[in-house]
Amino acid sequence: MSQQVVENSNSLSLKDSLVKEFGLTYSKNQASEPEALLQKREAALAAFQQAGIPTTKNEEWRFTNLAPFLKDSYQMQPTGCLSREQIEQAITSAQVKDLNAYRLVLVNGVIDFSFSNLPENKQGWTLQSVAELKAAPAFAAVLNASLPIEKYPFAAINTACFTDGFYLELNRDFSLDKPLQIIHVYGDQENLFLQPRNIIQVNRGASAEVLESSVLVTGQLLFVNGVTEIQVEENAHFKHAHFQVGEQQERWIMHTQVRQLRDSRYDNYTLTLPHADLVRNNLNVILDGPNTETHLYGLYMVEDKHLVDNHSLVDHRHPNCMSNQLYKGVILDGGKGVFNGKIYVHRPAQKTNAFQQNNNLLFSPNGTINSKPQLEIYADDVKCSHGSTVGQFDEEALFYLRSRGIGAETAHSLMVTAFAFDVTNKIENEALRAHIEHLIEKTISAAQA
Amino acid sequence: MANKEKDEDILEQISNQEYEFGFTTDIEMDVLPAGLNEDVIRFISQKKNEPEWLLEWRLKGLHTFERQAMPNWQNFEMPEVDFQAISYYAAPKNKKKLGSMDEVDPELLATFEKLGIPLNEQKILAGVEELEGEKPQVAVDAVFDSVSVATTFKAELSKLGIIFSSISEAVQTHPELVRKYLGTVVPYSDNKFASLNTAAFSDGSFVYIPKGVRCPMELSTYFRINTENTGQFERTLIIADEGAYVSYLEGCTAPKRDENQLHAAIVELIAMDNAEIKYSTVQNWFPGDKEGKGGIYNFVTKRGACRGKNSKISWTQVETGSAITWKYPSVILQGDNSVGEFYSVAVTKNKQIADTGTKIYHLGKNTRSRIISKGISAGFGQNSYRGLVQVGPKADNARNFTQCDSLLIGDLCGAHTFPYIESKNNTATIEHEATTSKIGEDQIFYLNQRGIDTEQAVALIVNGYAREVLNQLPMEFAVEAQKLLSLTLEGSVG
Repeated sequence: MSQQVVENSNSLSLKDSLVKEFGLTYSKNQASEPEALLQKREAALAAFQQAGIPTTKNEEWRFTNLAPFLKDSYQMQPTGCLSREQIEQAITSAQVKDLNAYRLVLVNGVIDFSFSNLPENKQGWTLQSVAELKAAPAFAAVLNASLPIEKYPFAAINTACFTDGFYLELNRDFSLDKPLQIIHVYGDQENLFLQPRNIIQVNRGASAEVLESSVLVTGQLLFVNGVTEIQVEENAHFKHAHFQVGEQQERWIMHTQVRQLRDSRYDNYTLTLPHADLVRNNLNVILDGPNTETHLYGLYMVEDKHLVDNHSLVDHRHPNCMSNQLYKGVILDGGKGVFNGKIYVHRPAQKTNAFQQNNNLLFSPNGTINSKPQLEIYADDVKCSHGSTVGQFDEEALFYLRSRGIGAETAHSLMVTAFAFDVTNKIENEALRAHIEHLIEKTISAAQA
Repeated sequence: MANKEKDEDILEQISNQEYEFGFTTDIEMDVLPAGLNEDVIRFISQKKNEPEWLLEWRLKGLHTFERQAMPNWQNFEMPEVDFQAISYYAAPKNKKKLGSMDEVDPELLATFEKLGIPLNEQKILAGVEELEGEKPQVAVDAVFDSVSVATTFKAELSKLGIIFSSISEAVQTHPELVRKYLGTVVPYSDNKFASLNTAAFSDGSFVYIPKGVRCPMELSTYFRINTENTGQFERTLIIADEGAYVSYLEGCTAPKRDENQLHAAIVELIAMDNAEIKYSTVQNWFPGDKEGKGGIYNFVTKRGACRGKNSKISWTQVETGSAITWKYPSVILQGDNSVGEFYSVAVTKNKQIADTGTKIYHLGKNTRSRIISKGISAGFGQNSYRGLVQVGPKADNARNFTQCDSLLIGDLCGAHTFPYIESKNNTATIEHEATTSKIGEDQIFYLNQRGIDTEQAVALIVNGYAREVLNQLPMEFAVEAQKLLSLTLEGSVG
């Protein structure tokens, strides 16, 4: 009996350790942060404590049971640092063949300029660590400007506890000549729970292309609860690709909050491949001005009891906006996929064109897919539609390929590539497209081995 | 301390007193005082001379009801419902009676006129009771206003072995059948309103079609003999045994007044091997005034189970009435090769709310389902489609097709779609598509140009839009429903 009590006190629940972590960081932050930010953090903690870690009784988490991931204990701050060799190796493994791009490297959520390769012209852009920036008085006002944390418990606890991340600003009318690849390197001797906060500000008329990916270099568990806030201002164009190729020890809850002002364009590509244990993407795009254009493309391949959950919200608040969403899923043996997309059209948002499509391919018998596309429409002069399908390989197409002397494995691989083509072909950068196509093929042949 | 005991004594006395007056007297009572508790349930059960098992089941329902929280996931604001303010037992004629047709709301009369309802029926529907010594007319079974018609039908049905009676009567005459099937599709703990219905159901229909019998006519509450005022907690149980077929109609196109605001009905359908049940509903309860006040809350649990191989259950509904319509007629496809269908038209105008759709559970092999839902919103109406298509791990080759379209008339209404698609089988093929748009200006222009005014044009377009669903209704019903649709939308354009 007494032994059990001791055990319990040693292993705090994740919620308790997060609250404890807040206490620790808060006392440190008190010295450096302005009052407004501290208040925001306190309010966020209160919101988190009230909501708690969501269970499957919460409609937004109905298919994503977090209970198995809460059993492990985590360090809230990295305990040691990675060696240069480890980081270099990680960067090499994240390299995309033939991709001519700038590079930004973050190690456990902290910018490392020594590994980065950034544009030389410093007129057009600003890159700063959030740790430096948060002392600025104006920072608190920008933080969570369009993110209602009371609805998102994980974004709330991130707000309460974050210590660092990157801040990227593109100046007015500046256009980045090459894509920027952001490589997140993670690893520690202990299980690690990280809460990075990244902010991207694309000013009026600017344009840029950013590609994010991550590498885990140690064998310990990694739980990332990240929030990225993006503001795309008037006439700006931001292309944002996110590659999620992971190891089994990885758990991800990523919140991306995008606010678009008038005449802007935002393109998002979220490509999730095995083997991370849990991937939950919250992608919210707030259309806060007329005449905007938004494209969201997603591809997820999931296997072996892992779970990929894509939640998205496209919030049409002004007239004449166009949004287009296409998510495709391939559910391999034992995988679990969730798609939950919402299009919300407010009353003033007349002349809205909103499309949403989710297609799923169940590759093997033990996969599960839960799809919930939603439309909530309060304006009448709109064209909105959504579609969702769940299916398997077309027997006739397979037969056709087989009858031409193509082996079963190659035929499957061909058909998955064709299925994914609708998404991959939207990737304009050829090197990136070739890279992702290669990854898809690799995943399929591994699945069939 | 002494005081407290005294208080308790008094309390006990009072409660005993009430019991004495309220529940053990032999005097015929018309209406039970408002409130819901065990004694009320016992009283209802006793009144209906129900067997012990049914009483126990009702009590289980009551206890579950008391435990359950109000649902909060729906896409509208839940109105306050005071369950203790409702009287759970009323002998027939709970309606407010009017002295003559002059007292009836002229708008209602105009609607009757347009629907072409004979005067006698109009009186019944509006709840007019004229004092010329006639017996009070109750419930809609009198729509065809002839006991002889009903008797003829009943004779014909019983020749075939079909049992068609009120559920209270069936409990007396066929207790074994009722006991075997009642509550097997919608369990007493299904949801708060289902539990409430289980505890307090007043009456409803019972249909049993024996093996291999094809019911020769459309069954409907219209013809049911001995229908009492089934009231707000109706319970329907339909069983089609092996190879049987039945088509059942519920409701009425004419707008119906009712004093009860909350309606929580349950419909259970059971289809055995090769059986088919077709259930059609036209619902046009009082929707409330233009501000949405006083309308009916129609919270219904409808579910069918395709128990046998090759069985089929098909729901068709035309929902134009009620302040709030909240129901999801569902099908559980247990038997191999079974088929489930759902066709729906839901119209909301003024401040009406509809949160409706279906749930299809694919459990057996080669099961198929088809969902066609057409929502029309006008004025301040809010129309939500909420549907679930679930494929179990053993449901090989399951096939589903879902189409739900929404039409918006005016810029203050809303249309929402919440489909849930859950598949655990890789041989399943599921398709869902939904669109939302307003009536095309070019379509209206085309009709205007041919001399059809805008209002008629809209009626025409809406009828065309809803055609796929209306076609599923039995013919007479389809014609009426078409008229009803045009009528409902009158005044919402221009």
